[in-house]
Amino acid sequence: MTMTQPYVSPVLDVVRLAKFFPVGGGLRTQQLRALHDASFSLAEREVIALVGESGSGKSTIARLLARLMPPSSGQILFKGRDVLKDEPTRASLAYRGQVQMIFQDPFGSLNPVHSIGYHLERPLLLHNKAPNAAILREKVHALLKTVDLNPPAEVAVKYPHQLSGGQRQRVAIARALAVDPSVILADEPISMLDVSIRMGVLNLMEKLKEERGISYLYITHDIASARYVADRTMVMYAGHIVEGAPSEELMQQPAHPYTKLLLSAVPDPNGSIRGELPARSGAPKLVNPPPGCPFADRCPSVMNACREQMPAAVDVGSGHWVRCHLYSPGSVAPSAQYERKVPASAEAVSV
Amino acid sequence: MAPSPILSVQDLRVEFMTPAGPVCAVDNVSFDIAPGEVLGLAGESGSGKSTVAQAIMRLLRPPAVITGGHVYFAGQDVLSMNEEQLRAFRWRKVALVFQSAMNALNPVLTIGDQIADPIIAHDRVTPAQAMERAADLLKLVNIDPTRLTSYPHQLSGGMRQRVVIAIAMALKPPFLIMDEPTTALDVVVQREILQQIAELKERLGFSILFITHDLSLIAEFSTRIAILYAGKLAETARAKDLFSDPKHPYTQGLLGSFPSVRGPRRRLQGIPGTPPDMRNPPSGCRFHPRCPQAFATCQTEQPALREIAPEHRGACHLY
Repeated sequence: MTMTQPYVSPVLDVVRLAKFFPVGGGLRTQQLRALHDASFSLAEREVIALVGESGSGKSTIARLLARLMPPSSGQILFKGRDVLKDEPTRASLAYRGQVQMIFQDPFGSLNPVHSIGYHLERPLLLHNKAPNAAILREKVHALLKTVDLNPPAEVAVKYPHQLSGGQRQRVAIARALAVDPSVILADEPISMLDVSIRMGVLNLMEKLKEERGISYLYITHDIASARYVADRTMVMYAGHIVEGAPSEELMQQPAHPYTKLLLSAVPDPNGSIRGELPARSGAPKLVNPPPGCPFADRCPSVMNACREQMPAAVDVGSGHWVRCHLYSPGSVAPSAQYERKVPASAEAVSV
Repeated sequence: MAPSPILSVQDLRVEFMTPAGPVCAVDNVSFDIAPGEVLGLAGESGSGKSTVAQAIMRLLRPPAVITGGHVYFAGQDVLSMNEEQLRAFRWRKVALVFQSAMNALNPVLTIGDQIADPIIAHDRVTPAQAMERAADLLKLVNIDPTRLTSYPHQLSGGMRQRVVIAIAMALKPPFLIMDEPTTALDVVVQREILQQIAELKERLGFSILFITHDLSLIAEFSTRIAILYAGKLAETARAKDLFSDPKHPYTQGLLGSFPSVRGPRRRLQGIPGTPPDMRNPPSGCRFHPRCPQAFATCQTEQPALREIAPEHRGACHLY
């Protein structure tokens, strides 16, 4: 929310992370390219939002970082350490304690036959955070208090069905906090909650960031909520991160045609439903995709180069970069309507 | 109020007969919809918005029972219709666009069969004629008629939602109820579907009851908006007035719950607390435990819905 201070050493460095899934069987096995070459770094106390439509690869990034599945290629550096090299088969307890995840569905992520207290005791015990029963209970109550579930003693003995969706999501956050993580991967944490309680959950995440120095990867399809919580926003399309910038800059000066489309489709109480969208909807091909930019078929500014090669990331200033041929050096792009000058170097920039 | 509404809901009351006693899901809800009008009905989950839709269509099954009120469609009393009259009423007069097109379509029947189904059921036509009309309906929602032989899984989410709209329009009803028609869709697709609905409405002139939890969505689309909280109407107003001058603290709170991509970035608070448990609703005004402006009367007395500004009604003791 607050316009932030300069960032120091990143907590998480993601380098050219990719994930392909085999689909079909036997001799016809094909590759579903869920994620290509994702590179970015997440600093301490930073919130990065990943925005995109369903199937764009946002959750794949979170699942790879939580190490719920192995990547096809790429590196994950946690505080400078290459965790995939050090712990190739299974993430260490230490890594899992440092990088926690909150899921979209607060109804599915809690076990209905166990009490709220049990859900919070499990990580504390597994990660050896509670030497005896008294400390365990104390810690559970402190966690519930942190997420504003009061009175903690009463909430701890309740079962998930006795809580509302918002309260359940707070339990999920408390569970992630139990092991003192430095990174929380929040996969659509508010999309299944009632409108009136969403802001409460986002504000809680914000508070925890300030108080505990937690960094978030906030995954959402709602670009307005990304603007609300995230310092930087990255837009994904068909497995590619196509643009990244400080959130406010991205909303005011979107560069990629897809980002422009996304922003123009957001409902506006003061607008009119009749406004033309700059492009139509359509599903990109993820299995054996054609070469070039996956947005080419829908792009209003498509050029020949777009169908031949995926553009490299181009820095357009102010920490803003974009993967689009309109901004490539040498390209004449009158339709880009972007006043800032494109710098000469087009090295791949990590955000 | 516009003269002779096409749909008039008066003091509608729906209760769920549970073993622990009746739970009142819809409590004295009244509204009118004029021909060609779009009424946006907004509320959170459990507020009773879908129950209202099902009551109008007479689709409620026990334990849900309509225990009071009237529904008039073009002067006809819907609640006293017998099965035969209902057959003539449903789909021909009022059709329903279901939430989540993923589940509303039958996976083992082709799109064509599913669009032709209500036509064959209601009109004296041969299957071939019905299929011809199904092709026209697909064209109406911008889908190539060659898709008639496709199965639902072969279509994208947006196309499936269009098919569901085509099915609802199969008999050209003058009134459509849309229950969260775009909820599971990506924003770009959502926008296209809404534009499509707006365009069809203009062309064919039907009225719409548009049910949603997303207020920002119906602002651009509705003539009037009704806000439902815990089974009761909190506020009704013209769409523009509701956004520029919300009266009820709940509406104000809801409007303060949507971050925006435009305008200044501001801190949003949402609404404290959680929606009430309908098995045990709060006394007095059902919003009072979450209301920042509640005072003593709010805890004991239920506020009535009354005119607080021209064409603007609210149920709040502040007014």
